[in-house]
Amino acid sequence: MPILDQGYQHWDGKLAGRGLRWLAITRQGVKAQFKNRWMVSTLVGALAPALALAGFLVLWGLFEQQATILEPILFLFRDLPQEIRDGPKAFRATFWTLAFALFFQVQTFFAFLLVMLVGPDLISQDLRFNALPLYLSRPLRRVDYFLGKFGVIATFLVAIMLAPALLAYLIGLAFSLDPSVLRDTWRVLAASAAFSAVAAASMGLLMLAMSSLSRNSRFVTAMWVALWLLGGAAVDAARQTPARAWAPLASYSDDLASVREALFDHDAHWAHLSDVFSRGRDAVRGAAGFGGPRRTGLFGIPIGPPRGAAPPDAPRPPMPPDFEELDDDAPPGWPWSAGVLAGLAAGSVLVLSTRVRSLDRLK
Amino acid sequence: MSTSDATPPDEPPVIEFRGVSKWYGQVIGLNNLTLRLGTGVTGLLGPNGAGKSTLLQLATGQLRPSQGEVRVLGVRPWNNAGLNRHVGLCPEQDAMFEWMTGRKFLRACGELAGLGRRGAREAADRTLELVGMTAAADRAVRGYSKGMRQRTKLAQALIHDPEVLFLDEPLTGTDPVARHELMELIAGLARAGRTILVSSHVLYEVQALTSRIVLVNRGRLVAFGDVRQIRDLIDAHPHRIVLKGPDRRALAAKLVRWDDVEGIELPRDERAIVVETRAPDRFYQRLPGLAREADAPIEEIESEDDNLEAVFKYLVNP
Amino acid sequence: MTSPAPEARAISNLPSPGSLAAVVRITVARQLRGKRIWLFVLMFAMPTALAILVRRHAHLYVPDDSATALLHVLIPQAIVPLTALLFASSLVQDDVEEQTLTYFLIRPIPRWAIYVAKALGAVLTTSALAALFMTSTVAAIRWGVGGFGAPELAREAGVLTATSTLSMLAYISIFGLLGLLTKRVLVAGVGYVIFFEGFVSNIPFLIRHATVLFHARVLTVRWLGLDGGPWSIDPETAPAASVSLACLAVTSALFLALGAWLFSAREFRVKTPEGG
Repeated sequence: MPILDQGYQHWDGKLAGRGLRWLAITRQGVKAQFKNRWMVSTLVGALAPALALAGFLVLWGLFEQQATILEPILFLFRDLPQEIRDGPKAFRATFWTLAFALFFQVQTFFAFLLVMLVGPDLISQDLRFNALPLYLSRPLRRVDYFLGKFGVIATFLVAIMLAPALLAYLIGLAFSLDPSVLRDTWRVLAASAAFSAVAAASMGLLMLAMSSLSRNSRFVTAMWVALWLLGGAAVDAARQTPARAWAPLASYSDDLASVREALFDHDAHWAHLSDVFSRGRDAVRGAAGFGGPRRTGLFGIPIGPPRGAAPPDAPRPPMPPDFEELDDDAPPGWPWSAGVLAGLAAGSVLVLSTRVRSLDRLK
Repeated sequence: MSTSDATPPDEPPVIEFRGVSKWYGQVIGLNNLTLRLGTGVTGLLGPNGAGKSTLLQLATGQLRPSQGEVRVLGVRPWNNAGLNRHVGLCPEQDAMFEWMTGRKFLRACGELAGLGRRGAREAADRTLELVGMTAAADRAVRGYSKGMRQRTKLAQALIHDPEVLFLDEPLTGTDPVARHELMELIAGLARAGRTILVSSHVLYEVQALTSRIVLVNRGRLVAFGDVRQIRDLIDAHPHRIVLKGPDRRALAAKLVRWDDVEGIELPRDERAIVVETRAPDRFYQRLPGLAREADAPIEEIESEDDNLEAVFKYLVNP
Repeated sequence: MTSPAPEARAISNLPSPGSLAAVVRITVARQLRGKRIWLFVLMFAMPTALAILVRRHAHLYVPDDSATALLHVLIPQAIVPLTALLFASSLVQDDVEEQTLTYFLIRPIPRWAIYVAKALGAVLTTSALAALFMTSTVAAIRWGVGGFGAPELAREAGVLTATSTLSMLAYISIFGLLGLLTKRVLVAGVGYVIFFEGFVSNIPFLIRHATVLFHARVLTVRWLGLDGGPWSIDPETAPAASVSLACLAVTSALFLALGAWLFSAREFRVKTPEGG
């Protein structure tokens, strides 16, 4: 029987390539987060909108095919204009786009929560417990360290944004049974991927920069919350000034919303849908012969102004001459919002490179 | 191993543990420990995770026993803040209020101890002098070396002149000169009538301070009392005595005939033999006679065993 | 032969005022250290900056609109509870994480007194911030408008500071207790601020009497003679100022007492930081 050496043995195998070393940090970081009950609950909760999106796409697919399975719930569609009921496929892109845009709007809130739970400890704890030498004394560059940490946030954001959107899209495809659905809706998928990338990059870099600013993760959480809550509140307060059109640029959530709406071409689709509903409403009124505004609905959910709204010829109070020029303030375009996000990202990179120094310059 | 009081029979114990157990969830920190300590210095020893810190935290009222009773000066420490007027703790962790200077930190501790502003100021100056930190007192604590932190921590434990002191690794990180000074300080405090329980890994330092030890392992009390008495009681392990001479084989040939010699080992050192005996005192009595014999001269004698490290090794790794 | 039973030492658990003052001083000093205080200064300075911006650039400046937006919405609904949450969450946790809690626990100060003194230290710091920036915001909004001068500033700023302080005390008591119950106090606190305080306090049902914000608004309406319309507070039916004052005081006392009791009963693993 040979006697085997139980002592230290050198590794003879192949070392992982340089390009993937950051993955070890990401893997370990993601695994560690699953011990956090709150994070797991938020992750599970964030899947609910995805289920709703998938459910809507299934319903729409069946509606397009006029499937008999929908007969028990056809009453939900009765408020749709005739134009849509007669040819739903022509409105496929619009409804899909608006549904996905709404999905991402809701998921942005979950992303805020998730990043708040996952992000603050990433770098601040390494600073607090002086763990940076443990990383940087290995054959890891600073960029590997940053990528690894960024990968943790990106993993969770992709898990609640892109992955469920992709799955819902595939489910929508499956229930459409129509090859033209790809041609009509590929832009939705592209916009989903693009917005997920923008959100992950922006939020990830911002949170990492904040995490590198303090050794106290509670302080980092405070900065994150302040950015989201107080930014919006300040914008609301600033709406009294002539700069109100530009005020939304100061709100991080508004900037993200502006980019999202641009990627999904949300305004155009919403305007198109509003036109169709207006035409539908006018047609109904004309055909029925009795007046009184009727609140339109969408799958049974009322939209539009409530009944009893003031008649169009009710007298309006005279406006002071100075206010006339303020009536049509156009908000800044999405490039400005994208510029703000890019500026924040650049600032984050600068902060990170200053705060997380190489080994020979660590305190 | 039988436990015994470390207090003279006519003196009440200062620190008393009666059947104390402490568990953290599924983990047992201390297991049915009974202990009585009187005045003077007692060393608290044990490997990592033995329960030393748990014992100290129970004694200082930071933890509540899951079972049994702890008393210090006759009073339960848990939620009895008034007892802390008579008790001082030098904690193991390095952290202090980092933004303060050493002097301000000690003044703050004095005020927390209820000395009042002037009393705290005077006490701070006095204890800084005692631990040799006067020169560095006005520097921020965050800039202190390990040794300076240890001295400052000891100072804050002494600032209110307590009767009972608990010192958790007080000498870690100190240089040899500082270590010597602090050990003298601790010995002086004990001579003045204080009760001091010192927890340490550095066995020779504890041995220099006291011969009275408490040895814990895996939450249990393993041994308690004088080092030598404990050593004598360890029947399982014979004493090992090293003899050195020019002709070790001749020496070995003579010793192997003695009844109280249980074993003889020839180590690498060609001049040495290691003798194992269960009756070391009798062995030592006969040794001079052997040394006078011309054909078996003995040039050196040393015992590997008559120290704390041997006791520690035998009891912790049986 | 066993040793005689030790005589129990007569000890007093009453804390000395000096010790308590030392706890308060250390708490205040810790809160004012480092970068954290600048975050709070920025948060509180934002309304003043906005007030100046609006006043400088608005075509038709209406001070009451600014006051409503900043003094009666932004500050009490967002800044005050968020500040209280941040201070209260670090009340005990900072000392546990930095392993300095030991230096309080080994002193002759009862645990409940340590907790209460820390909470009061936090209230002192936050109230001082609130007083300073409330005064500056009121001045930025109203100074020189319609004869608004020093006496009016003192009155309005004084009332608003008082209501902010009472709100801070209540919030710090609530969030301090929350901080002892859960490590994720910030997440829970933000949820409480947004959904409970922010939403429930604005709906005209009885449940809003359970919110701190509602009582703070009642006090503001009563003491400054405001129209409670924007918050559905009818002066005819709303509680009297003394009732709201009592509600805030009782809430603070209750949560502070609960927090103090929990702090006394809990063990803290300071040597190896919990969850570290």
